[in-house]
Amino acid sequence: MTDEPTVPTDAGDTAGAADDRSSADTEPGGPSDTAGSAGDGGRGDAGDDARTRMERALGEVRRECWKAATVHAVAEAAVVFLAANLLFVTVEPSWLPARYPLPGSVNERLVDVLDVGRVSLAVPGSAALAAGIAVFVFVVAVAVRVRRPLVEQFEAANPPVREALRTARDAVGDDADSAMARRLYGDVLDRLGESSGLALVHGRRLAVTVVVAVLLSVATVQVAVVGPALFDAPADVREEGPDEPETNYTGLRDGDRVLGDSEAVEAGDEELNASIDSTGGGQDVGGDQQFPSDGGPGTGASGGGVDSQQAGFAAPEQIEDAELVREYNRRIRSGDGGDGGTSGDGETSDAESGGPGDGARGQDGDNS
Amino acid sequence: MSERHTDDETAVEVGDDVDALQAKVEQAREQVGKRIVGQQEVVEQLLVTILADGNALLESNPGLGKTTMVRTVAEVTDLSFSRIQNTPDLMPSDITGTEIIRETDTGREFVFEKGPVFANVVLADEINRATPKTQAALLEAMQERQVTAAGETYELPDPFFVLATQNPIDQGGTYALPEAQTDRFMLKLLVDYPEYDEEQTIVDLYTKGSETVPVEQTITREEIRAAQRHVRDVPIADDLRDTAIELVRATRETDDIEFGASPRASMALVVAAKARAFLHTRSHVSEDDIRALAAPVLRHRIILDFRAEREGRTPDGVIDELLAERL
Repeated sequence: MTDEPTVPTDAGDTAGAADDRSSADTEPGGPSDTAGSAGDGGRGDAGDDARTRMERALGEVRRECWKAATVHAVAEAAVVFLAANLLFVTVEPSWLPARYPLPGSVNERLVDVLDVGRVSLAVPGSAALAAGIAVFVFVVAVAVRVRRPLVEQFEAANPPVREALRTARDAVGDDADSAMARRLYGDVLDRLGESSGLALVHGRRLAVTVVVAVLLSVATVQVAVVGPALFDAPADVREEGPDEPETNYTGLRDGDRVLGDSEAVEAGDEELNASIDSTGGGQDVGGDQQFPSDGGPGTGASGGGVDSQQAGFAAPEQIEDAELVREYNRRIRSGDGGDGGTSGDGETSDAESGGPGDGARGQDGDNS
Repeated sequence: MSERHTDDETAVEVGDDVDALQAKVEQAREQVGKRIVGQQEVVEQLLVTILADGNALLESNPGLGKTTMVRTVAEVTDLSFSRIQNTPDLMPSDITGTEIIRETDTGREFVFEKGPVFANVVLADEINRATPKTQAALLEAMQERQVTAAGETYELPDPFFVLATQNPIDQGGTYALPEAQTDRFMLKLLVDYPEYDEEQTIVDLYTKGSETVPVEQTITREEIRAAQRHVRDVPIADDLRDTAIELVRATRETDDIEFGASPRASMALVVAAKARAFLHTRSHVSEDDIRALAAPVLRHRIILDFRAEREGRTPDGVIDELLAERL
C-alpha cells in the first residue's frame, strides 16, 4: 500500500495482475482472487483481505486455546467436586448443614420444570459445598491456562507452524502489508489448515483426570450405598442381608434365627432370695420368712423344693410342625370358647396365639 | 528520468512475483555450484550478502577458489564486474579513478577517468596486501556508495558490492584491516579446505577438457534489486529480532570480548537473516537464520579479551556460546 502513490497507473494494472497471481498461489479460491483484478486498488484490497483473514485465523486460534483450557478445567473441576463431596459425606463435619434450600427463584423455576407441586427443593450440604469449591477450581484452572498468550500456546503445541505463526502475529500487529507479508499470511493460513487444536489438549493428563474422576465416582456410589467401610461392614447388615425383605409377619419364626443357636439346658446354680407378700395368713407381713419355705400355712406352696432353671429352648425338630400346632391350638380355643379358664384366650387373635407361650400350650395339648 | 521510470516499471513487474525471483536466485546458486565444488555454505552466504545489499570479506589461505567464486557470482548475473589486485604500491586513485588531461577539439580539459571501483561487483583481491591508505579509500567508497575526486562527487552504480578476499594476516607482506574498517563488511566468510572427495572432483573438473566450466546468466540487475527490496520486507518476529539485538549487545558485555560489535552489526544480522530466509524460499525469518549468520556477521567485529585468547578461544567459539544461551 505504501508503494501505491508512486506506482504509475499503467503499472498499477500489472501490479494488480501480479498480485492476483500471488494470491492464486497462496490462497486458492479465496476472495482475494478477485480483489487483485481491481487495478490500482487491487494490491490494497488483497493485502487487507489477507490481513483480515489472518486476523480471523488468529481469532480462531485463540478460541481453540479457550476450548482446550475449558476442557481441562472442567475435568479438573469434576475431580475436585467428586473428591470434596466424598470427603464431606465421609467425614460429615458438624458445621456443614445437612441440606441447603435452593433460593426462591431457582426453587420456583425447578418446581415448574419438574412439576412436583409446591415443595421446597434443597441440595445436600456436602454436594453444595463441593460444587462451590469445584466452580472456584474451574475458574482458577481456566485463568491459569489463559494467562500465557494464547497464540503462543498454539505455537508451542504446533511446532511446524510455530515460527511462521509467531511472525505473522507480529506482522499483523505491525499492519505489515508488503508482498512478503501477504505471502506469509497465505502460507500461515495454509499451514493452519493442516494443524489441529487437538494438540492443545494434553491427552495423557486429561486421561488421568478422567480415570481419577471415574474412581471417585465409584467411591462415591460405594459410600452412598454401603457406607465408607470397604471390608468391615456392620454386623446387622451382614446377618439380615439385603435378600431378606422386611415384612410385617408376626407369626411363628424359626427359633434358631430368632434366638440364635440352640444349646443344652442345664440346671442353674444361682440362688436368689425373694420376698413375697402373702395374704390369708394370720401373720404379719413384715415377719421374716425363709424361702424356700417348708410349706407352712398360707404359703400356697406345695411341699418339695424349687430348683431354679436357666431359660432355654429346644429347637423344633420340624419347623413345619409350627403350623400344625397353630391350627390345633386354634381349634382347641374355638372349642373351649366358653371355658372360664381360658376366657381371655378365646378372643385372642391368630397373631397373638402364635407366641412362644401358645406354642408351649400347644405342645402341652399336643402331648395330652 | 525516463530510464528511471522504466526501471520502476520493471521493478514492479518483477517485484510481485516473489516465487519467480526466489527460483532465479536458486538457479544462480546452482550455476555457481557448477564451478565451485563444495563450499555450499560460503556460496550461500555470498548470495546472502548480495541479497542483503552488503559487502563480504572472504578469508582463506591462497588457492581455495575465492577469486573464482566471486567471479562466478558476477557471471551468473548481468552485473558489471571489475577486479582490483591489491598490492603494497597500489594508490587510492588506482581504485577510485583520477582526472586526466584529454585533448579535445576545444582544447585540453580535465576528464575524470573512472577507476575499477565503478562496477556493480568489485573483487578486491587480497585487500590486506594494500596499504591502509588505499584500503581506506576503497572502504570509504564502499560505505558512501560514491567517490569524490577533484571536488566532484560520482555515484557508484547500483547495486554495488565489494567482495574482498584476504589471506590470513599472519602471512608476510600483509596489512591487517583496521577494526573500524572491517565493520563495514556485512559478513566475513571463512573458506576452508575442501573434503577429500571434493578435492578429487575439483582436480577432475579443472584438469580435463576445457579449462573453464561454463555457467549461465540466470538473474538480471533489476531482478536483484527487486529481490533486495523484498528481502527488506521479509517479516521477522519481534522476539527473534530482540534475540538478534541481545546477541550483539552481549558481545559488548561478556568478559571474553574486549571490544564488542556495534549497532551496525545488529542491523546486519537482521537483514542478513532476512536474506537467508528469502534464499530458502521462506516468508519469514527463523531461528536457523540467526544461528547460521551470527558468526559470519560478528566474527570480524569483535576482539577477544587476551585471557580468552590465551585460553585458546576463538571468536566463533565465543559467539557460539553466546548464541547457545539465547537460541
